[in-house]
Amino acid sequence: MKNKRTNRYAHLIFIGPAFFFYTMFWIIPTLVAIWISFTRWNGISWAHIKWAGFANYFKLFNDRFFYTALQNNLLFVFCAVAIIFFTALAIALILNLKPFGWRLFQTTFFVPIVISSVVIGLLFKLFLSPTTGIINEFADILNLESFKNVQWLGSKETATYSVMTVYIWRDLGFSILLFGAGLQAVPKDLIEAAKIDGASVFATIRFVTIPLIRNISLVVIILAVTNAFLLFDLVYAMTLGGPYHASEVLATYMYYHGFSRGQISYGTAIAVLLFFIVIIVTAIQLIIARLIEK
Amino acid sequence: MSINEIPIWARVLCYALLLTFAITIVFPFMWMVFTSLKSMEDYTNNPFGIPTKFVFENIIEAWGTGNFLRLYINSIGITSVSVLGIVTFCGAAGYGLAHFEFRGRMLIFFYFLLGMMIPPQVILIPAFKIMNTIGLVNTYFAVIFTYLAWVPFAIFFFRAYFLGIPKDLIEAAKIDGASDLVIFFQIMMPLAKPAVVTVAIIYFVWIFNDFMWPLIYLNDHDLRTVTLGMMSFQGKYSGATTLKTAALMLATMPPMIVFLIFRNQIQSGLVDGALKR
Amino acid sequence: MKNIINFFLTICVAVFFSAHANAKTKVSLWSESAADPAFSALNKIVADFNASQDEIEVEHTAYENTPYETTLKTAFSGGTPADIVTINGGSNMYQYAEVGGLVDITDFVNSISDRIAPGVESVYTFDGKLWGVPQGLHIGNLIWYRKDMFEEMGIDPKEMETWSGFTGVAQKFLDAGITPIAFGNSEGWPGNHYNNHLLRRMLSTEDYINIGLRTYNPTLEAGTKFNDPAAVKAWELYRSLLDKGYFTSGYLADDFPTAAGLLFTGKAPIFSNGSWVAGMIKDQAPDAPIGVMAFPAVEGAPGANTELVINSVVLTITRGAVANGTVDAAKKFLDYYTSAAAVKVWSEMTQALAPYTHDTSSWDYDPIIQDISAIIASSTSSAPFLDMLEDYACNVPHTWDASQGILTGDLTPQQAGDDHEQCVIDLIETKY
Repeated sequence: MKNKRTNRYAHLIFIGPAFFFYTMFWIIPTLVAIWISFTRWNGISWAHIKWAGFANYFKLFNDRFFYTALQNNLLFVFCAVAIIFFTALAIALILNLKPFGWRLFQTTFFVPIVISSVVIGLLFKLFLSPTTGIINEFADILNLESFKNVQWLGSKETATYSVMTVYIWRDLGFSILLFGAGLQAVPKDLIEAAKIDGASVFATIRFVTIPLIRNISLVVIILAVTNAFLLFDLVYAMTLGGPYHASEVLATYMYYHGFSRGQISYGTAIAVLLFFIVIIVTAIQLIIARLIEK
Repeated sequence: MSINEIPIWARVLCYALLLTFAITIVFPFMWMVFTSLKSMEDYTNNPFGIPTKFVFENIIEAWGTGNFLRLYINSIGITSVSVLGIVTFCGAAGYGLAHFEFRGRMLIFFYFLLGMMIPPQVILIPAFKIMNTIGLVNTYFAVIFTYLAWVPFAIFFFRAYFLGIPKDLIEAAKIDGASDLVIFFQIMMPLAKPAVVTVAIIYFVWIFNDFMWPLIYLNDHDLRTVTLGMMSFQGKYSGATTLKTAALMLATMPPMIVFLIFRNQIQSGLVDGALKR
Repeated sequence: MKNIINFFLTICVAVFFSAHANAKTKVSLWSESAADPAFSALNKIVADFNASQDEIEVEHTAYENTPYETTLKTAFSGGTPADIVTINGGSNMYQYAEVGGLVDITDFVNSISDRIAPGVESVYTFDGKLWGVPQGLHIGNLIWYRKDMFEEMGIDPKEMETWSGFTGVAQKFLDAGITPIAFGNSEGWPGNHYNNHLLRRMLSTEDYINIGLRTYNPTLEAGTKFNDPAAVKAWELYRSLLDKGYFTSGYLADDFPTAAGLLFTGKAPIFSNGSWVAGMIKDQAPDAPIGVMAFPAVEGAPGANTELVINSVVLTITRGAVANGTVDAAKKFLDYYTSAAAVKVWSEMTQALAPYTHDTSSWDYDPIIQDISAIIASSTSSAPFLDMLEDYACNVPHTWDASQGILTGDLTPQQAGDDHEQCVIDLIETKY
């Protein structure tokens, strides 16, 4: 009898602490922030807020830098995520075959994740400086004339792609880790059965392994896409969104308005919009996943 | 399945891919280590190679000016406490969502997931106001509590893991008369070791490398973390690439070394889980 | 039992006395001086003040330049800024004063007004009231150059006193295979400075001040608007430096410290930036043969090269002090801070000029500072930086960002001017 009573509320005890911190320090500030996006405020004194309705959002729809930022995020979502997904999958599959030195490779690939994006961004910024970096020496050695005077992070043509390359370089490790965990979960007996049936390694991978990692693949994609939308640290460290907003992403653009220009309300409006974009995109991905299963 | 079972041409491609990627990772870090050990003249003449003469001044100066010992103590302290909290609370929440049937179960789960999509910059000012009202600004608690709110990923992961554990185990324990908490701590958590290890590593890295929250909450010089200290090096030294690189090295090497030391535990943790199942 | 009671009483007494021993008034101070030499200088001043008396203890927390703005903003909006904070003078300070974040210390400043050098008031005055005391004085519109490289080429630096002379010198270097002007605008503000200094030359002093101040005082008549020919020409001259190939190749990729490094290591002979570079030279390249002179005058425009752009950081007392009841204690610190002893420490250690009337003849100034003092002594007028006069909401996108947009070609000078003017008009409309 006593068991039954404690059972009724047991789930509350388990969920309680996480629920408390999450609501208090994440959800409630978000609600307040949404409210702020409907006001006009410079962020300094709470007594000086004025209600502004949808004014910030109207301004946003006419803001060409907003579209530049959105475009860059989409570029990251489609290009970077695609490259990361397939490359990480390939590498994880190879590692799963336990080639010579696989432990060493695995460790090496994880390394960039351990380092902060900010630090990595600063490191590559040093690399890519046309005046003091080694990128131009590199071009010399490889005899690539056309690469010589490119500004890399300072040129609007190459800034976003430079950041994206570093982004891919860094994030591959994380996806490899996730795929690795998923591959571990593939039951060994199925592989054995396929082998006994005479299937080649390729066939086994194609017909047994890949279908079984569908769940983890979904996780990898959703996380990668979400990250691509929320990207901030790397862009901030490498280009600050420049030059002239060429490499701006939504998160840095929001920071720019909220803090460099002192327009907290406008910046928050961007953040709120970003939030809804991510929700919609995630929902779309889940729906597509559901459809594929059928 | 092993690599030796695939045709040679495919094998070569595989190794080529692995090696290429590995080199692109190793090279920047080696460059970083070598550069920080060079004098400026050496670097100007010989930017790529091994230092002609190993110079330690850059590192010493960077360590001192950057006050790295204090930075590390803070970073590690804050991160450890936060990770412990996350693993405990989210493990519990994940288990709660996976094994208890109650009304609104999926609703609460989605409620938790929502947080993954909220960019932290949005809540910067409101969160500060709340923290300030409680009076915790400029203390370790401010950042720790904020990190304890980073539940979405952990809950998602733990719940998925616990869903995979057969119910009969729990039923058996209940018949034996164990209370829910006992079941959780003594049976479930040990079973979930791979998940615990994975979540712990991922969060350790996230929190250790976080920069924004320490920026606004940790005002005191003595409370600052490593990433915060790194940004400060940005504006300080003009021409001295070697000095800037030395600072970067001090920020990257220790986490890397720790990771390298513990990688076996990490990897076996992940493997154990697979074998047990 | 008796032992326990005794023990308990001892603890109580000890706690009581230690609490009393800490009965000093604590005053918190935040500054942007996290880098040496400023860091050590401010710490020393604080330590000297604390040692000189028993009632007040000042605690100093230093922040890096870039995150400082964020921290200030969040602290002010969250309600607990430190008792004393340093803020960039002018509009940066105005935004906090405007909403009651700062304490009006007009009476206090007036009481020490004989110590403060004339011409600096614009930096700490707003709406007719005085809000702070200046910390160090910086001249913005200077040209730094490598004496050795000029000697080698046989060029007299004085040729750079006019714009045509300046570009002529640059051309000579370029012809000899040396890219003349070190410039790194990844952060936006160095380009903003070029625009600033050119506007200072293209416009009369009064027009220059009014063009920005309009955003805080809409009743002002602006003699020149941002899209008038004179202001647009400022952008044209800036762009021409790029077109002729005078900027170093990292002009948008490099940041300010990297570009300064090019000057320090002798890779480029010319660098336009303010007097704070002197402190950097002392720290990083004390033996480099570097000279300094005023920004050139543009022929046919009203600005002479004896007209200065100045900048000063201001120490203010915030409403945090009101909440803590430490306003008077804070004033006492400011009193010490503006005394000859403290100003001497600051100026000598950071090699900054003192916006005060104290006698500096015996102070330990580097020759470079003496050169700059000479420039000040022969100046005919001083005005603050435009981003200290104009609301950040318009200044940042239309000078900082625009200075990048002009270089990438996204903006023509006329467009930049038009956009800027439109922003001011919109801002005034919605604000007032």
